[in-house]
Amino acid sequence: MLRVDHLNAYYGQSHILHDIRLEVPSGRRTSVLGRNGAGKSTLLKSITNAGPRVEGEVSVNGSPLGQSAWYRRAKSGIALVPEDRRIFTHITVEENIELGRLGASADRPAIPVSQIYEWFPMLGPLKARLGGQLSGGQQQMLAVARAVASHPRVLLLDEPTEGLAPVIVEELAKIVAKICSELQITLLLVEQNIWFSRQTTDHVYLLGTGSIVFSGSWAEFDQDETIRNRHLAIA
Amino acid sequence: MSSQAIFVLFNGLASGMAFFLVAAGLTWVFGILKILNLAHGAFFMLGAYIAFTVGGGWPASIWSFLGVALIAAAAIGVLGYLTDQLVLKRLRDVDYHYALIATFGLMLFCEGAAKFIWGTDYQAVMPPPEVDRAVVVGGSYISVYTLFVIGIGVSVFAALEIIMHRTWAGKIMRAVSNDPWMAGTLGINVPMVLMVSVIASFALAGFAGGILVPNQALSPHVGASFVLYAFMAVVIGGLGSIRGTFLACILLGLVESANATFLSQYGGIAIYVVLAIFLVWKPTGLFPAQGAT
Repeated sequence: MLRVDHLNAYYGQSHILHDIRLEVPSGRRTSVLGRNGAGKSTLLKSITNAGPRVEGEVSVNGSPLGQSAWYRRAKSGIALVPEDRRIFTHITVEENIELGRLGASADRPAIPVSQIYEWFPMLGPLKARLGGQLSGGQQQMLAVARAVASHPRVLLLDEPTEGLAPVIVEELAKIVAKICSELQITLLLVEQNIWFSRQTTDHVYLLGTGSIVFSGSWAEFDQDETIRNRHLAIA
Repeated sequence: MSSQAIFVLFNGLASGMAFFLVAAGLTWVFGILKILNLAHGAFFMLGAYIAFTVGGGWPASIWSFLGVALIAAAAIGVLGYLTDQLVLKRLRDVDYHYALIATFGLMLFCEGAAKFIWGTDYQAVMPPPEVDRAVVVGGSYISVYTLFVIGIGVSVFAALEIIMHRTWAGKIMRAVSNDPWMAGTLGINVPMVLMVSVIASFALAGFAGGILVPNQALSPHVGASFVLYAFMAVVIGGLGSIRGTFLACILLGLVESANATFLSQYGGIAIYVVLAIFLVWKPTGLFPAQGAT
């Protein structure tokens, strides 16, 4: 289970996230929706302690992560796919995946590369290609594959559909749902693509300007037209 | 090929490899930490003094000479660890100007320490007996020590290439160099990788000091000329690129050697002409690196 308690995040003097509290039960999948600038990416970076100054508590399966450095959080079972993918451009696809496997631990053995290629059939034929030679869609697949290779307990996806063709978005939704289900991964997805979020998650939080303004199922979300209009401006 | 051309070739290659032995650590640490270590030459000088202190002025054999160079490498590696903990670690997240000022101060400190410990008198170290002679190649007398330096330079380059491109340690270092934030997010212990890189870079400077100390007038300023050429090679090769630096060192060595032989009345000018041409033609270097490559 991923638990975020009384989390406040700051960039310099700017207070970005205000007293965030959220829970994603083990093996469940949750979306965080919100407009640009609501603080969605900051939330994921705060959970991994990889950017803003953070106060509050993050725990995974009941173990508080305290102030542990960002490079130790992967070993705690948290994997982040950042919004800008950040593929290592100078090494091959397979080497990128191998680097992802370094985040595994004794109780979470790394996923074999052959299994990764089964889940991501698009990547197999590209395994010898440099990361910098991939298209946007291929890079996004690789970014997710690299994160999954560490056999994470918690997967954090930051707007994975941004800039992708609809057919790739559809394929990615199927792959993410399948892998999270097979490995019992707890997923926290930050998105603006409502369709993708519905396909991959069963609970939704809505982030206003730095605060949680809604938490519920998709059915409850659909019924609350006021909050959707105010914070997402969608019909 | 005329005997003069052969002399220029071997002499140039030896100079180039000497530059490379000094430049390798410089470009490595820049590739990974993005810090231009102005004190690198000073640690090269300390390596040379340590080799002189441990091995004396008359090495008994080539093996003891190599052993002493490795001791110098280890000693400077330890100093690298201390320097990292006391100075470089504090410069990771600040503007690069601070790093330039801090490493310049460190260079002055090292030179002062060397004067304090070893004095300012010149010292000399002879090449080991096995290489302290000449052979005739194509009618030109070539010092065997020259061939030895070329061999060591090529071996160090080959070792760095294998480490960087064929081992996991190298791939991890290149990943940290390319994007430290993402590397850490994947669970790579970034501070540890940076520390190991600093130690390796300093150890290379110490090893270079131990290998190149023969035929030099050993003084607290012995690193100055080497490190000047090393900086030029790093700029021409592409900051952070070991491959580019290697090629640039060969080029600079050959140019310097040809200049000294054919245009001796204009001593040393050709190398600056080459540098100027590269700064205009390829300001980012032969291999603009994304990190240590």
